[in-house]
Amino acid sequence: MRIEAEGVRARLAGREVLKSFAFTAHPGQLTAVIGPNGAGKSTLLRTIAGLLAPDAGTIRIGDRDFAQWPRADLARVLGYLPQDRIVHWPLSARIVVGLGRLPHRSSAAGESREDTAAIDAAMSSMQVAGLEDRPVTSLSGGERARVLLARVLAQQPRILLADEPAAGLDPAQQLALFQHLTRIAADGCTVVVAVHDLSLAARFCHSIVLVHKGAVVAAGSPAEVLTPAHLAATYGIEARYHVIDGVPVVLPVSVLP
Amino acid sequence: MALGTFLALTVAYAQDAAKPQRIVSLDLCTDQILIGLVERRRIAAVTHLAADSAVSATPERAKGLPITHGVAEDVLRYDPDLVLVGPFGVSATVDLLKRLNKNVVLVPQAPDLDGVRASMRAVAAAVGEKDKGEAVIADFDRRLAAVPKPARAGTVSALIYQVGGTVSGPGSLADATLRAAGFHNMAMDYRLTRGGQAPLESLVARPPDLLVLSSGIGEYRTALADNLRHPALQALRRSRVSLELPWQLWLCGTPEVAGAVEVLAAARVAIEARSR
Amino acid sequence: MTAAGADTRMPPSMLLGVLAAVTAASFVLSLLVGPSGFGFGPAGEAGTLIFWEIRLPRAVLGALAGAALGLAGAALQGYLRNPLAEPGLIGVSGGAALGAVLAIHLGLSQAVALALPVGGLAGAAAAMLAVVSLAGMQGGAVTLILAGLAVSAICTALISLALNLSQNPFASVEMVFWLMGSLADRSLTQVWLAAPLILVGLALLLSVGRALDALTLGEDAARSLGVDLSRTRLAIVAGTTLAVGAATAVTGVIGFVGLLVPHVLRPLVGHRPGLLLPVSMLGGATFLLIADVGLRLAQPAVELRIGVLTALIGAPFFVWLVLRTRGELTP
Repeated sequence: MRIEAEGVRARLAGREVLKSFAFTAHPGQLTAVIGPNGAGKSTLLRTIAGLLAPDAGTIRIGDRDFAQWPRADLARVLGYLPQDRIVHWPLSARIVVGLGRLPHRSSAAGESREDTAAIDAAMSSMQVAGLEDRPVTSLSGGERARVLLARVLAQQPRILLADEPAAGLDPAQQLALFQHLTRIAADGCTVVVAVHDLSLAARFCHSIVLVHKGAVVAAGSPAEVLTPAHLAATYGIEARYHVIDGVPVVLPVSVLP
Repeated sequence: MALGTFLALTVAYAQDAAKPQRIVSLDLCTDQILIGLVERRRIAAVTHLAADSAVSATPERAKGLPITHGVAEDVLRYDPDLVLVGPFGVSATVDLLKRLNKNVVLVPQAPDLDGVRASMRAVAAAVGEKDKGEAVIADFDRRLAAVPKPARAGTVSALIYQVGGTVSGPGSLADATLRAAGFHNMAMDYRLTRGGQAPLESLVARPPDLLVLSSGIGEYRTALADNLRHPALQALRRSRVSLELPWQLWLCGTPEVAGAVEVLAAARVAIEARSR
Repeated sequence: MTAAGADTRMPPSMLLGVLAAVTAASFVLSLLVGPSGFGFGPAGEAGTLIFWEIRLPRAVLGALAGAALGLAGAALQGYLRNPLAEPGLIGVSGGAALGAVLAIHLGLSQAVALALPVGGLAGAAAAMLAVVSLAGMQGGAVTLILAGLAVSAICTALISLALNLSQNPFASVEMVFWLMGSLADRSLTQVWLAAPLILVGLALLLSVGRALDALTLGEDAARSLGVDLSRTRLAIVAGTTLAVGAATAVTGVIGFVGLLVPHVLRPLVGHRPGLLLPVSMLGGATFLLIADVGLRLAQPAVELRIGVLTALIGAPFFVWLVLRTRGELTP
């Protein structure tokens, strides 16, 4: 399912955070949204997820305009993974993953066979099947991140929006997480992630959107977007884009005066 | 002759002058006895309760009298030559007034009919109206003696049921009033709570021959009076003899107690006549 | 049931069934106990009167008030994601008591039969609004509890003021009635007044289970799962106001049930806030019914009001909760 946004403006607590924003993401692709802190990455994702009403502009999800998506229908095709990995109660991992089935369930019904299958599939896909009885609050950061990603997968979304899913994870966990995301995209899902680590974006993402001060500065393939000029203009750094053993790496060298 | 008249007048004047002329009463019960014994001009102030029909048996007689709220400074305003107090709630004020050398007389609460007589005597002595006091007591005793006696005492039972389910047990003036009217006080037969309340259920399970309600159903705007409006109590009142006897009549040891005994005894006679 | 059964120990349907049976048994037990002896009351007309007019209303109100308090506590804790929330603690009960006191003392309850529960509701709604606007819906635990304490204190002060000004000779005893609720000698009249409102409130509160489950993951995630947060907020505020407000208007304030019951039962449902709702409703009803039975058995040797008993059990529990929370907060 395609996401198309055009001329989107949005404000947060009265301040305009997104200014005339254009954005496209395609099924089967992993799209990264990058930009310095406060550039508007989270706001962009929240606007596309329908959590923040835009002041102006159009957002199309699939072949329908945003306004034509009832909240309940949208929840069955669009999964959103917030940046904070909050789980307020010590629920077991399996119950947390099961929360992803809420949009597919009528209010009174228990877990259907379909629900059970989706939960089991999501858990084994994220390799958390062994944690199912553990309270989420007792899991490590990486384990918790995988459980929460499994929760979105159990939702069986056609679009997955993840806000900095790799934040706070160690390098091995970060790599594993992006491999999971790549696989999810390969299954036909439209995956959009906000990323801080430019090398991860360069290595795993099919296309990159660079945001600065609420506007899109550049969009395209990693090589097109991660140029020294763009990085200097947005992050204020001198950076090199290398390919080492076939793996692209963005190396920040110094902070520009 | 003229001298004799003069002497008599002087004595009378001296006696009158010896009587307290600016009397303050700080207790609902002494208020009522006082009003019945002395001329209004000698009463400097009574409590606000004296004119409150919710608690006073003779509110109309207290209308127009000055009111004191009972704190020492307020009392001193009237420069009283006698302060009548009851046993409740004013001990700090009483101590202060005594230290200021005010003439303070404490009138104990009446726990029974003898107590009623004692209260009246105490007030009468303090205000210098002994003779009038004895006359009132004699009238009180005459009324009590005229009340018809039961064939056998304590065969007919009664219960005084109040707001919040409180009942009047032994040692209260209400109990003495019931017994003087020839009743057995049913309160002794229930397992009362420590607060002296009878559960409505006990009342329904073993009802007294006469149910005495101390106030009307609509009288109190309080959630506590819900027990008086309870359907079970209404049903009980339809099936048993009941009467509303204002608690003002037996709240204080005043001559009005005789009136309460008369009303109760009449109800007893009616019950005895019915069961015969 | 697959692995989910491992942490609930019992499938939800069985757990609810068992709890419903326990609640029903407590209800019957409550009908059997009274000062005139064990059983369904003495024979004859007096027995009929005792059963239908005295014991039945007491048992029904005990069950309904307990259900309202337990369920409202679970809903508030789930919505605020805070185990310290409770209708009494956040001022709803105090507001309801104040509303009822005003309805009685201004004489409204004599003019209009429904004035008492409606007054209770209005008071509860006003208190809830005051707390929410003081603390803000997103306010943290401490802000919320402080706001609740402030509003409760204001309500208590206004109740004593109202009783004082009314020159009611029973003001001090009635104050105790409102602050330490009681089920003693309540009548079917009061049941008919309060029950419909309590039932509507319970239904509203039971409807937010899915939303509370989703809210475990935070507000954004909940909305992305299709939860309408403003509808949820409305259902919880209105449901609590109706259920607890109506119950308090006829029983006075019964504290700590809403705090204690969800807390004790939460592990039984694997901490799931949605499933905790019906479980706490049944648990609250059972708790209050059993406490009331114990109270009647102990009387007159021990003279306690139901509100005092729940406070006696609840207050030390609250202290323990505070200590444990402190332990969690300090590393």
